[in-house]
Amino acid sequence: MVVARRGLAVLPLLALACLSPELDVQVIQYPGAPPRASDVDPALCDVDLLDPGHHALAACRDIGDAFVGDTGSSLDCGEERVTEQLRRVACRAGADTMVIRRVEDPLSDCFQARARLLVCETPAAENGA
Amino acid sequence: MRIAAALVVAGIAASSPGCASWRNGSEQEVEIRSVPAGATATLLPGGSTLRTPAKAVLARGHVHTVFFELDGYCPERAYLDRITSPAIRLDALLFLIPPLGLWATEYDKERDAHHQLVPDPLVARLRPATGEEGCREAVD
Repeated sequence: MVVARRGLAVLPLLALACLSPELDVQVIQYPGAPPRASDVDPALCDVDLLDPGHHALAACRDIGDAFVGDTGSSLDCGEERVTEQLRRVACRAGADTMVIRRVEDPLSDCFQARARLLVCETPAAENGA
Repeated sequence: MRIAAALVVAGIAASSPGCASWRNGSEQEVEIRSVPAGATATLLPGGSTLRTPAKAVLARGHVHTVFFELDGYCPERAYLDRITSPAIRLDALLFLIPPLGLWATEYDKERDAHHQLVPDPLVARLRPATGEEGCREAVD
């Protein structure tokens, strides 16, 4: 009985050991759209976030898309962190604009999202983004 | 008697991998359709092509993007997202035997069996190409 209780006490520790701060990041680069040089600092990269259906999208070209979400045991996977991760991915892919769509997952507590990665002829900010 | 029962349950659990792996496998057959049919669908990543309607066997753990092309119609793009498969709930049963429950979950995660690609079927509705401006992206 004592052994069983000790075993149960260890359970939360085992469960915690399986959790991870990592996010699942996947990028699909479209043909003919090479990624930026790897030495670009994502922190210095300006990526605008547009709503789907924004008029400025008419002047944009899709160069890829990306997904950021739960690994199955992700911690700290709220909207802010996922969006920031998507910005970094967009920057590395050579995009200056992105459009985010939430991926609904009833069995995950994480904010998961898919982003269109775009290059726009006119910076989205000048179009009232 | 209890020990024997526990040993039997443990044996069954140990001899089978994670429940999602057993039920799902690491790949999913997804139906790809277009309206009208007969479009060329290019799947990324990978770049494999097929003619709609068709079934594609895809890795569960990866998101996919599908490009549709058909003469006389605007090119379309559709997305396959990955979400958590309900099969992962079966692993919860193994948590009755704590180390096995964690092991089964990890096993499924390593094989991406705990994911499910949606939507299935993936259906693209193609718009007729009418003039040069006809295929521009619809915006507000």
